[in-house]
Amino acid sequence: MNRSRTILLVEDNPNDVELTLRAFEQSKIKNEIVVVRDGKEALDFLFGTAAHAGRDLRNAPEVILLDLKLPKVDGLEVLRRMRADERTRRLPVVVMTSSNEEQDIISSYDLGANSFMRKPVDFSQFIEAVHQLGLYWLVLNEPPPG
Amino acid sequence: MRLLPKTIRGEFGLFAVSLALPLVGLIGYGLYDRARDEFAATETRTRRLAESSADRAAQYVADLRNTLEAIARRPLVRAMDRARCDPSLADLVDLYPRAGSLIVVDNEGMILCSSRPLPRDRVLRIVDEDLLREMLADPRFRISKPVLGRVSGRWVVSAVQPVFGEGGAAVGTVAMATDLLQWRPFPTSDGLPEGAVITVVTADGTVIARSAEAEKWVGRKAWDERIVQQVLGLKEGVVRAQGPNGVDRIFGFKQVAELPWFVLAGLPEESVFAPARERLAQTGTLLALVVGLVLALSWGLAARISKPIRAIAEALRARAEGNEDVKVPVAGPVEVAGVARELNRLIEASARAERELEGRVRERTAQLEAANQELEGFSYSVSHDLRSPLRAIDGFSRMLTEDYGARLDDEGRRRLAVIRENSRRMGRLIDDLLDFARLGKKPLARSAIDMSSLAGEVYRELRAANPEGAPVFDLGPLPAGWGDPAMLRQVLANLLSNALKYVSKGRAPRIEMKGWADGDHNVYCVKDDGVGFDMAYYDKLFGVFQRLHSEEEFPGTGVGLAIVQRVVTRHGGRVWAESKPDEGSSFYFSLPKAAMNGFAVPPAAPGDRK
Repeated sequence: MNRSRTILLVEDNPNDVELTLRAFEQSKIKNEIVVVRDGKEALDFLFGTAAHAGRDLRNAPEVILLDLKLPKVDGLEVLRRMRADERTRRLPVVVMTSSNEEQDIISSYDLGANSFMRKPVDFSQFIEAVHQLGLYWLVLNEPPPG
Repeated sequence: MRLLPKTIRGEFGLFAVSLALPLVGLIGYGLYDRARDEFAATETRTRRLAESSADRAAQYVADLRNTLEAIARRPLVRAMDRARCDPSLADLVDLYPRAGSLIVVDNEGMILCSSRPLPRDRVLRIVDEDLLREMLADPRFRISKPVLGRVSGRWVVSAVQPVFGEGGAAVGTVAMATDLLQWRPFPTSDGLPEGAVITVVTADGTVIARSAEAEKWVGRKAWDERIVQQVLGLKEGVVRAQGPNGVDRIFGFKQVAELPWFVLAGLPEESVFAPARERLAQTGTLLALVVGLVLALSWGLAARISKPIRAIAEALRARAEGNEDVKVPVAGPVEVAGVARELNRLIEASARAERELEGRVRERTAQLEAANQELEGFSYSVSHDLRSPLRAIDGFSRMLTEDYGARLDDEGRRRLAVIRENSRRMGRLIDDLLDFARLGKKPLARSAIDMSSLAGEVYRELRAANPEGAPVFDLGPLPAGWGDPAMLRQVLANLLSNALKYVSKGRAPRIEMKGWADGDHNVYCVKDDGVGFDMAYYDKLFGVFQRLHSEEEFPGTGVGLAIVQRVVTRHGGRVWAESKPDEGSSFYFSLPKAAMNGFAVPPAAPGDRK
């Protein structure tokens, strides 16, 4: 199976990035984690454009952790573009965000998010959540054939 | 009771009728009065006719008597000499023009002489024997009953006068017959009113003279004798009766002086009633025309007033029903048109006011919507932007503890713990605040709720999450609720978790939940036996972030009761509480019964209760 088992983390807040990486680390998840800081970069990575030109697109990420509030192109727009493209249509997307606004949840699922997770303020809970998430998406979940 | 509807037309009609009625009454009375006068005049006329005829008849008889007396005194007659009497009698007849046919009879009734040539030797009893007998018994002037003459074959009455001889005794009788068909003791016929009939009858009702159709009636009984007696017993007067030929007449009557003869002068009632009827018909027609004209005029006048008023009412109704382009038609009398003009101004003014109001409402709504949007943006920002730094504070504090904890002393680690504790607490505050804010805008999805089973379920969940202690939960039967299930679940959860939090730490902690109906609301009560609170701070009880106990004693953000109040208020209910320090608290909330919202509560299915 020609898969990279990469995790794509789309997150603009460096603190959150650090915390997330720490949480993965503490959860003993060893997969490569690619971090992009805004929606545009996320799309560039996924479609091999701009800074990511020439990337082997067959190495699709195992799961994408997508924040909604992002500079340039927001999370929902990223999701919409992904779902519109044959290459990324079926990639598992977990929306990870600070809010649990009903409207955000509804929009995310409408646009084809596979999961919605609210980042807990309590770091212990956050670590637990990341652990569960990694276990599920990287171990239990059967990814789309690609 | 009103016969006519209370409309302008009705009022005008009533007015016209009330004018017409006395007019009709007056004219009707006038007609009646005139008819009565005419009737009285007719009565008088019949009486005069009767009197005048009776006088003529009496005069005739008196003349007859004088004539017969004069004849009876003649020596030739007194001599009762058959051989000489005839020529002299013929002379006498010439002398006395009234003496038509004269005869002289002796006491046996034998004719001694006659003014007409008769078979002298024959005993002709021309005069009836009863009369002759009366004459012998009491010799004086008499008039016989009407008899059919034996010689002439005509109806006659005979006047008889005794002839006294030398000795003064009656020796014979002079008789003179009057042909009744010739006898007309009436005013000349051109003096008779039209239709007038004068009849002379004897006491037994036999007609002896009649002004019309004499041949038919003379000698016959015209009326029943008894009636004649009854009526004529009065001697004179007026009576209304049916005449012998079946015509209703007014009769004046009078007895002929000193004779058993009566004169009846009749005028047909028709002669009085016909002109009266004709006048009635003419006047009535005229009156009907006038009254009809007045009614029509008043009807038309009423229409001229009421029609524009109806049009105004119609326009106003259309306006009230929302048609804003309606103009009240300005028509009709000046006053009505004035009202219409003023109404138009009023309508315009109210439309202007409405437009202004609508404009203001739109403006306000826009402002409110903007404010609402800002608030939503605010809460979105709060949930997003405030939580991230908090997470960083907490996360990095923990990382610090984990990575560098060994290098810190106890005080340093404690302070880091304080930082983490406060960041977590702020996270809870933000969450609760957001929950509270969301409650205000979320629409209510009401349905019937089995409150007993909901309360039991909520309590079990709370106990499962916090299994410390073992309070007694006394859940009484609760009336069914009508509301948003998720929100009311929140209310019960907040109240019950409060009760669990504050319930006494003593030996038999106890939480009670009861419910009952109170008018159109159901009331629910959650009671604990815990620390309670001082009612002096009651005002703060349901405020956001208001706490009556220290965080150390009882953890919490102070939003729970505020949420309870907001939910219950949105359901149209009320929240209140009673407490004394150390004696427990009772929290009450009420919910309108379903019927208040126009719905019926469906009975809970047996499976609903868990």
